[in-house]
Amino acid sequence: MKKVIFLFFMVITCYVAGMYRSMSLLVFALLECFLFIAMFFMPYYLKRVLTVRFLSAVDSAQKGIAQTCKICVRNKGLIAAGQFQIRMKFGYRYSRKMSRIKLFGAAGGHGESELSFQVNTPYCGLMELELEKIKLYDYLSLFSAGKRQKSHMQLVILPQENPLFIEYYCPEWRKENPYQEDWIQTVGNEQREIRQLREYQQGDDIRRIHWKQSARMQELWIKEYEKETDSVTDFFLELAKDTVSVEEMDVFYEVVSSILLGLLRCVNRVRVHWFQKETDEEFCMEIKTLEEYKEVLLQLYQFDLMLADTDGEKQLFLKFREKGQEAFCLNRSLEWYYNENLITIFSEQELIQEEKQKIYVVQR
Amino acid sequence: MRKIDKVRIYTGKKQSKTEKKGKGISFLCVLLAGMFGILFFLHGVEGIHYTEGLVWITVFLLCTGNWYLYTYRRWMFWCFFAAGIFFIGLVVFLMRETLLIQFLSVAEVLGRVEKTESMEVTSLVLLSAILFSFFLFLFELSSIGHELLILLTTALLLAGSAMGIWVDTKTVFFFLLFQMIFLAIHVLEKRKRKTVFLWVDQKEIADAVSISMGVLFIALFCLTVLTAGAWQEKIYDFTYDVEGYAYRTITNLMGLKEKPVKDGKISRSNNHQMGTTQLRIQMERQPTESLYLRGFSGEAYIGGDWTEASTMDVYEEVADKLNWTYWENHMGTMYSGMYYVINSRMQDNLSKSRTMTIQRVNKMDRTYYRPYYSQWQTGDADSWYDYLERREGYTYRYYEQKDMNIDWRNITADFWQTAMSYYQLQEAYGEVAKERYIEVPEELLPKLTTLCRENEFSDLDEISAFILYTLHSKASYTLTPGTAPLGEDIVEYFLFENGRGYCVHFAAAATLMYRLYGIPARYVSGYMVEPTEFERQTDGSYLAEVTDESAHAWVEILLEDYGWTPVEVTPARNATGEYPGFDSEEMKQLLDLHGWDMAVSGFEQYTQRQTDTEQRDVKKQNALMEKGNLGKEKETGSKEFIGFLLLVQMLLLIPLLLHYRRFYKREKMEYMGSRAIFFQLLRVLRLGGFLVGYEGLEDDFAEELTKQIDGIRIEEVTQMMEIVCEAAYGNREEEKEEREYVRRIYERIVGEIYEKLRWYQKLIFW
Repeated sequence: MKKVIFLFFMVITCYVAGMYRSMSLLVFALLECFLFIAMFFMPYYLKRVLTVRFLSAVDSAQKGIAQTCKICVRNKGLIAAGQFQIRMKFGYRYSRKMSRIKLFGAAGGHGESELSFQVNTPYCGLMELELEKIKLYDYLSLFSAGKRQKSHMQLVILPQENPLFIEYYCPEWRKENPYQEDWIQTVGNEQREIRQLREYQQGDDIRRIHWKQSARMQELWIKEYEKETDSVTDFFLELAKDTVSVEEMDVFYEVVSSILLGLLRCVNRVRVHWFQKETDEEFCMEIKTLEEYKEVLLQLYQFDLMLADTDGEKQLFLKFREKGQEAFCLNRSLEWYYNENLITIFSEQELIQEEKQKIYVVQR
Repeated sequence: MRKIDKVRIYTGKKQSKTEKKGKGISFLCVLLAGMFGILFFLHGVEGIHYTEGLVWITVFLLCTGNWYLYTYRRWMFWCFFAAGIFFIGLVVFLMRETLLIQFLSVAEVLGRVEKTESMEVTSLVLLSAILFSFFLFLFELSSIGHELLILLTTALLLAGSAMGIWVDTKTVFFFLLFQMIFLAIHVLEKRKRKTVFLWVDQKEIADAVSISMGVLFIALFCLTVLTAGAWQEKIYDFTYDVEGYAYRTITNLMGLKEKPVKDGKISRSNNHQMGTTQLRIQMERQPTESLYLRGFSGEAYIGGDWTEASTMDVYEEVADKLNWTYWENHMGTMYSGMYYVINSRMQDNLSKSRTMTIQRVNKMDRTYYRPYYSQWQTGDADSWYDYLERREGYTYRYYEQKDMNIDWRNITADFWQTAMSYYQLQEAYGEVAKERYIEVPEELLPKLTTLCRENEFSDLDEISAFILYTLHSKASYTLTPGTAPLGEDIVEYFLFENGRGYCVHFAAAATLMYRLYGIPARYVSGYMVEPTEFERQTDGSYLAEVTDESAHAWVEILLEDYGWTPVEVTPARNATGEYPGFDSEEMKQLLDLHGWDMAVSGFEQYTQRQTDTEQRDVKKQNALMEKGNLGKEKETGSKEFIGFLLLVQMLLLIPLLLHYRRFYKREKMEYMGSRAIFFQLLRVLRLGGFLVGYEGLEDDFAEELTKQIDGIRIEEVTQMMEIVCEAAYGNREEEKEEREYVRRIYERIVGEIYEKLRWYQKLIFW
């Protein structure tokens, strides 16, 4: 429509110029004509000199916090790119449909510039962003020329760090000595030393209160335990399930994250296992630090759930148990086991409350 | 229930922050271009006189002030705007009477109600310019009003041309620059509203786009001027061809091709012929002279139109003069066939007379086209109309001009009495014609009147030669002369400005010139058929199919013993200006005698077109100067003055540009990393002549810097250097606070250096 209006103006001006034999109007009409031609070629020129790509191929973000993504625009030409449109495909892995959006941008002449946009992160998981096509416009937005511009970015959206309170409980001890304060053991299967005492803070478990000290000092004191020097536990993930959705995986990842963080509070090392059908082998990664925790989540996000195999997973866990080793296991139905004992079935709806309030006592 | 959220992509918060920054320098430049375009346009309006310097300076200062305040002191801009509007309202109220008079004067000039003397309208123009500066600024800020401004400025240019206002190339340059660059800037802004726009510094991009577009525009403008200069005529011709094609197509589609071609209206536009047959003429013998068929005779000229000659009134007057009241009703029949009858009786045979039958093909045209020196023939019909009913045509007997030979001394006795009556009729008619057919509305034709007054001739031959010379030297023949502007008299425009026209223009101009010299003359339109157009038929007769291409206009003058006689003045029809008693040889002698060279334009109409048109612009400018009250000297002075003003304004703009540059760079620094800021610091130090030779990595850099620059501590410099080193070589990204710290130190150092600089260094310093 713009082109038609522009041409209409041009023709009218040219006609009036001819009718009144006005040199100035002729210049006006011709200049419009030349501009029209120049505008036609401009997108093709810009197409040749402009490239866009994501600034980084992988970036991480935390769930619920908007993430700024950057697109790097390189203009080799002398003239500024007044405006261009980037068609981008984006969405979570396992979402039913990828969304498409058209982003408009502009860039100065000769150089690199960074353009940014923000994306909200309602779920944790792997968000895929893919630049598909760039469409370049002339300055008057009359013409455009497009080209395919492939650039891919993975946004690793990590769950918020809400570790579970995991404690080990020996019921016999309590029966024998109900006032014994050190009846709580952690997963490492050994009683631990108290590292230090500190003042009570809101949310602390009342079972950790050091009553003697509290009585002496007239205020509540909390015991903090030393970690086992080289404690390690295994955590199996059963990833096979008939259906998969972004929402479900979001809950699953959150639970995995919470358990991992919870376990890392108790032990020095957590070995995470799952079965890979592709190679018919188990995946195993040991984590100690937060960086490794993020890395294992990334590996988990990148694992293709369609390739998960129930039988393989069961066999893997059984083999492990046959060796007499103890392990945690979480399946996609959010059933959490310690060896063969069900600890809990996480509720999808009340997950947030559960994570914050409940203490999971692991009974050996 | 967990809330299911959707993934959204949106623009960051920085966008709105950027918008508040104001407008870039490109905005001011383009705004000024728009205002300058308007002022240049106003400069071309003849009859409007105002103090241009005052208006130009006011506009420049106002636009610059508006932009400055809007960009740097936003709240002050709105106060200024409100005060400005209040001021205008107050001035309008206080000067309402003066402004009303000036407004009416401008309206008269633009409307060309009548020729008025130019009036000083500075107050009105100044107030309008102030008001327009404000509103143009507001319109461009909003970005939605630009389309309206494009429409207005384009309409102004087109209407200006249509109204005969001299629109020069400067006006076009500034208007188009204003239109296109703002369009580019606004296109950028408009996208953002509807869609997700990646965060980008709008002001920076607007400036970059403006520069790119500006450079492209100027390059294309140069190309355009060259192209227009070289291909001007070809482009015009192409336009006319397209117009002709469109005209013919529309006329055919609308079924308008049967429209009669003759009337007394002097066309103000191009003549596009359809080529459709209008008449069919059958003759016994092939004519040897061009056959002029008169369809319309003009009497009074009223600004581009001829009223039809009222023959009945003339014959009544003639009858009154002769006291032939009894014959009053037959006077028309007598006079119209008089010269044929006299000639036939004096030669005493009809062998030289010719018979022609005219049949109408175009049924819409009910005009009776009549040849000169003729008499209608009804044959055995009871009346003329009876004859027409039966034959669907009409017949004349006529003599060709060369066969006319009336000699009053050679009258036979039986014809003596009739001849005397005819003689009396001729004398009386001549007297009446001298009163009726010499009227010219001189107030409409000041230049033509002046031309004839300045070249006084009494001899008809000399007058004819001068008329032919004037027409052919001042104008060239073309069917596509373009369109005459509104308010311009078509004859004056044709002869003194455009210099191009076709038969109606030549004939009208010649008629008026004859009349100004006191020679009874009438404008005639009808058909002119060349002898070659007749084709021999099987029955021995000759037939001509007359199309609208043969439609023609000519001048007829009243000659003794010939009556009304056609004089051909249109170059395309081999105009020689001949009439009985004045042939081409005599014409040539007269032309040579007076040194009138007709070799230009007229006879070489097609080959000389380009030269004529090139001269046209000069002609038009000269005409403008002649018309205007300012006069040539003043006009030239005014141009120089405007040039001087522009130069002064540009000089005034330089400090502003430098200030803007400083502001822009500082603003950009907000997004710079600490390394870039540090490099900038080194550059500034070198510019100020401090620590020349230092690279910034030296151990004693901090110490030396604090020695030379007061008010800065060595710890601060050291910390700054540590941050910069960490940013350069460290494995982590710098914190925002660190960057801010480096920037604060930079600004303090720069502030100290600035105080020590000389004035010229301060200009380029930032």
